[in-house]
Amino acid sequence: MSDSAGDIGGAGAAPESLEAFLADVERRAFRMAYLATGRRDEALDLVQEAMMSFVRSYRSKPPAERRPLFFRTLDNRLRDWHRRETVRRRWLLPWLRFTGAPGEEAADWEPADPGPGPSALADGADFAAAAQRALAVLPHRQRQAFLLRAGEGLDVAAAARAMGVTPGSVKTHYFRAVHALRAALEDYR
Amino acid sequence: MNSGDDQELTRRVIAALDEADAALPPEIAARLAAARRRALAEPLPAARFRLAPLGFAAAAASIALLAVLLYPRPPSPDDGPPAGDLAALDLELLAHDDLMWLEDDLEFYAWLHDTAAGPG
Repeated sequence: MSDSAGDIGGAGAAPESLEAFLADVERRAFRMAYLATGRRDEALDLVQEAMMSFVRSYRSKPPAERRPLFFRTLDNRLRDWHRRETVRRRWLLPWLRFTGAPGEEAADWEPADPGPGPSALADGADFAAAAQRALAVLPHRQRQAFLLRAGEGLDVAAAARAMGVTPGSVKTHYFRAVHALRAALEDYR
Repeated sequence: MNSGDDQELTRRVIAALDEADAALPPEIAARLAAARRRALAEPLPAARFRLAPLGFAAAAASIALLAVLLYPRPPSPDDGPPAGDLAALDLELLAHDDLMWLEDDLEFYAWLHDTAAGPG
């Protein structure tokens, strides 16, 4: 199992000012929330809630500690969203369908897309879309481990703090995420 | 597939995501910037909780007042008998009154009996 993802992506040195830090992470935070929810507006709301909560609680933290704390805050919001969504899907939606009320809001994109045809396989845009679809269908913790380790460049300990799990769990989730992405993107190699 | 292949795949995925982030629609970028400004405009915790010490002082004063009011006072000679003694005294008086009524009633019934059984 490989745990050396720190040199793959990453956002570089921590910016000194809080505004520069948030400006640096906001697009990747939105991507993380969008992959988790599949809905643009909800992703934006969750990122905004995470920013406000982060600034309220951790604005005085040293720059080096900001990244795991911010993504911990966002991850908490995402897990809360998943819990609410699970309840909504399990109890509320069947009842709404039964009563004929307006049902489920459609996702902005469809994770179950079967993928591109053979002629489009070499296209970089299609690879990007396929990569996003593959990430979107990963279990939450696997996707978080991948995005935090490879995307944010957090080491195992920092990713564990951001996810609220043990370092060993981060390694396992990251390994499984890479394995699943490899299988999903096999046609693009 | 070896670890080098995995790293290459990971690098490609992250590069693709970064490209997508760079090409984010302007309205989403604007909303993210607005969210950031809103978050940074939140008042500092020190300013928001400036009234907290006053709240703590008020709470402490209330607790102290309550403790003074509820603290058991030592008995004083002017206080009269304790509450338990008063209850016993009341019971005794009530019982005594009842006995007196019973005596009166018995005398009345005896007189009534004698009157009814008399020569008239």
